Amino acid sequence: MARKGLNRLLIALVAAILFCFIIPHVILPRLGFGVVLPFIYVPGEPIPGTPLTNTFLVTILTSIVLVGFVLLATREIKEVPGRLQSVFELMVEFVDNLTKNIVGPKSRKVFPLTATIFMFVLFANYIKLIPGFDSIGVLECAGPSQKSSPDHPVAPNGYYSNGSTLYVTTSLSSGYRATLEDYEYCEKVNGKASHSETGAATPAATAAATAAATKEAAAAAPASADSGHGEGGATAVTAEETLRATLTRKVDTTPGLKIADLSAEEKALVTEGPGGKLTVKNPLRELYFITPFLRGPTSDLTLTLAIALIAVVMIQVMGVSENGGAYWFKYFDLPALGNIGNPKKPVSGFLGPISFAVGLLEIVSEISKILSFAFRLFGNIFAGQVLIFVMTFLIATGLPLLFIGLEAFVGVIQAFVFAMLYTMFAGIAMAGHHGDEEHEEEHAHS
Amino acid sequence: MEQALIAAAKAIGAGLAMIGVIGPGVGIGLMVSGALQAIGRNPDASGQIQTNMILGIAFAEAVAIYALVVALVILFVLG
Repeated sequence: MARKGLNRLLIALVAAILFCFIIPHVILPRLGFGVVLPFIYVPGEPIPGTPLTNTFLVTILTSIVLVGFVLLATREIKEVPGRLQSVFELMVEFVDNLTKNIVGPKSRKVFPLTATIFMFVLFANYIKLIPGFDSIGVLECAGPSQKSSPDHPVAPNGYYSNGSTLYVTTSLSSGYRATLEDYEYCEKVNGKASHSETGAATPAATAAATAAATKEAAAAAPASADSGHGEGGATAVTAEETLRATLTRKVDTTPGLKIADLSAEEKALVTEGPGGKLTVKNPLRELYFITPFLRGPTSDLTLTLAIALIAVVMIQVMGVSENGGAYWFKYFDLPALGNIGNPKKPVSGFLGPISFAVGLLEIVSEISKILSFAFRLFGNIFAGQVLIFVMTFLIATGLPLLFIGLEAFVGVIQAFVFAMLYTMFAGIAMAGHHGDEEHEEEHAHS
Repeated sequence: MEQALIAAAKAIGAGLAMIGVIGPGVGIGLMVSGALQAIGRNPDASGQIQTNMILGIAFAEAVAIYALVVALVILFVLG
């Protein structure tokens, strides 16, 4: 068994070195492909022409996968379960134990939404670990941010405050600052009108290239040789720009280039530094970023806010269904107000107004529950996604594997925490305002 | 020149925002210490104690994540 394990480890290592290091950092640069800086983007990217986002697509996909999984697992329920059925039984039993431990005998009311939240968030967190998510997408020309250059009012993605400024050709290098000329060159090369002319160009709708990349490698920057002239705008790629661009790419990607290898016109554009290191005098680079087709749904604040809203509304529904209209006295403590000056209830009579004010503060607490649910899940998953991007960009061999493992762990924990918190708050709501003593007795028995 | 200033300010802002994770770090340490002491006193209850400890850690971690989100927003979203 140890021998088999060793074989598998060796195969995995060889595959990792081949696909994560040799192909993206040795072979592809020689062919002219570069490394794209990860483009970290908080909202979901819209699909052009529709109000839907790529995270919404994956939400639908997750639902289909989840329903498919459950249907497959429960198709023929056997006494001795098969693999899918036993996994499903594990999840259902886990949520059942959770609700029974927290809520007690009323767990049947709370169970459906708890199970839904747990399984949906779990699947949503795991589906983004499949290779292809966040890495396959549409290449778009990067652009400046509005605040850094006032004569380019529209950033490529339609949002004003993001600008890509670094262009990196090798891993572990800090990159070069891109210039306005670079952005314009990219747009010219891809046949789009430059922004200063039309001001309304949306490259997202007319992206020139769609490239596929492995999860570890970055996307390609196609060579300028195959592009045509600008069709929408009046600017076309000049021969001098093409020369500068190809020369810059050559100098960037071949580390051992000597000045003797260049042609005469190319030699005029470079300076030779100490040790034969070449620098192009006026470099011109194409800068792209990827808008992914598929993106993990829980990394979008929209989805987490939606689930949080549903959960908090259902907490109120649970409270009302168990306690009737008296549930609202938790927030508007009218009995306490009515008891002021009542000699039979000395404590409530004296502290009535305070109880009422505390009840009003409970409304604030409910709002903060919504925000805390949403941001906890969003923050964990989005931060994990950014971490994987940055780690993949720095060292593509092996290092992202550790972080993908961390993501797997965090995905389970966050699904569990969301479901458990919902169950606990629902249990508190169902117990009612003054039912705490009875609830403690029940809890001690179970 | 202005771009360099903006980039530098972003970096400083993100760094300052991450000072906020000291709190959750200390909090998680205290929680786990309490949980370990409780398990030491009562090993039979270790399952329940562990569950509650994980819950508490998730709460504290959420606060750290809020700080991280602010840092990321400063770095990548704000102009």
